[in-house]
Amino acid sequence: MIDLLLRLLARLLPPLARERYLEEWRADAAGAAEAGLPRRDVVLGALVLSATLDRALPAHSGEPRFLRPRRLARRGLGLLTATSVVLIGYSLTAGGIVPENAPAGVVAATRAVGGLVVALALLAGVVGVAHLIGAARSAETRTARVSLLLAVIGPLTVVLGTLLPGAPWWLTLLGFVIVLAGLATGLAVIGGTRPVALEHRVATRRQRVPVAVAGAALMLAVIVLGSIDLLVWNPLAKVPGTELSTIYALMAERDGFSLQPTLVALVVWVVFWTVPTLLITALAVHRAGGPLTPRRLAIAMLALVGAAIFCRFFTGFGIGMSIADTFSTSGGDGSVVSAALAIVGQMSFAAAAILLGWAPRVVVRPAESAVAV
Amino acid sequence: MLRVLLDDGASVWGMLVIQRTGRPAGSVYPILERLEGAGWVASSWEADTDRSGPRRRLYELTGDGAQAARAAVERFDAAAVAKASKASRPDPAAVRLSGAEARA
Repeated sequence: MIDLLLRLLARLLPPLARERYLEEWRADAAGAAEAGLPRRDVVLGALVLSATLDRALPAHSGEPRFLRPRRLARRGLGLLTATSVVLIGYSLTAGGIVPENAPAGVVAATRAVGGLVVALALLAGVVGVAHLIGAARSAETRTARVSLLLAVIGPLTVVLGTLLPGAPWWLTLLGFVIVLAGLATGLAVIGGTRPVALEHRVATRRQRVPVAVAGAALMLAVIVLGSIDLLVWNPLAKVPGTELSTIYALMAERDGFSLQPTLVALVVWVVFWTVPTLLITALAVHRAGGPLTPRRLAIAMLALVGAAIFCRFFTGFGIGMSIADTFSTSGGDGSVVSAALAIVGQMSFAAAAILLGWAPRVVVRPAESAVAV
Repeated sequence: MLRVLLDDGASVWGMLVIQRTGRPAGSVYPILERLEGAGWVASSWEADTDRSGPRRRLYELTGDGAQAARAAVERFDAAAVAKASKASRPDPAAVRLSGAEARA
């Protein structure tokens, strides 16, 4: 039992300190009787040490002190950005797109998935705040503490201003100002005493190609499904029981709708988001694409997918308004694919933000003076 | 705790420090870790032992650490004497210990 507890407590330590302390604790527990002490004392000591260990100590963290707060703050900001992206998407779609005239099961499933995404986003926000607390603790500077305070108060003020009945209008605005101030001070913590620079990392072609192809396939799926949805599935969902040709004919007759501008906007949308995706894929396949590591590729592809889905709103604005005017429906999307794409878009942006924050640890090379003999 | 490390001279393992100081392990382990992080104490695995199983971690004061520990102990003793004799108010500079020294 004692050994199990010690192993569990060792798991709470940084990887570099784990083996050392576990062996030390085990030896202490084995020799406790010799020192006339109960073995449980070792567990108590291990418990306190696992909570108070100086995690920023280079011997424990494996990185210089100045890098730890920077890494934690970067991860925290990435997570909080992901939370913001999902909550903003949730707000813009008024609680998520609900499929119209769809079976009850599909509507329930869409709502459940949307709720799950929001819950995950809130969880990411909590983990993000925890990371900022860790950054502030290890930075031990006034700027970092201010950043921590603002990172906690800002989002809380926004949530209170939005959800609290009768809250003054300026409370949400104040919350956003605090969040911006928190971001600014957080960036100062990230910057620290050394400038942030692009770390030299390379990946092999075998590592790059699968991510690039998967990203391109995702974008292709979004483009194809998004286009068909905009022209076919969404109109059919908004005006159930009517043939597509009849819907378009009625729109032309009653609202003066012409398909041509919508097709032009759609082609622009397709080209605008397909070309950069293909260029990145080609670069990843090319031997010059070494710096495009899988993480960097994923960030680029997911950000493009998220942006493409967001911009589909503008592409489909004209046809959506015409449907609304012709059939006296709402102007919002109402198909299952629209609802799914909105969730995919939010998750793509959120994943890109988290990956951007989750940069691998910097490999610190000894200074030349240190290795010179 | 600094006194134990100074008096012992040689390396001591954690349980021995706990036994000699009479302080709880929950206090001794973190202090040893902080002292090691600050460079006052160095630790190493015990070498060549007949005992099987995990190795003990031995702690000893470094050269600088021993010097600083002696100074801290002296100041602590001076403060304790001054307080015990209830003499005139002691010179604040003479008894001001850093947080780490006070805990140790």
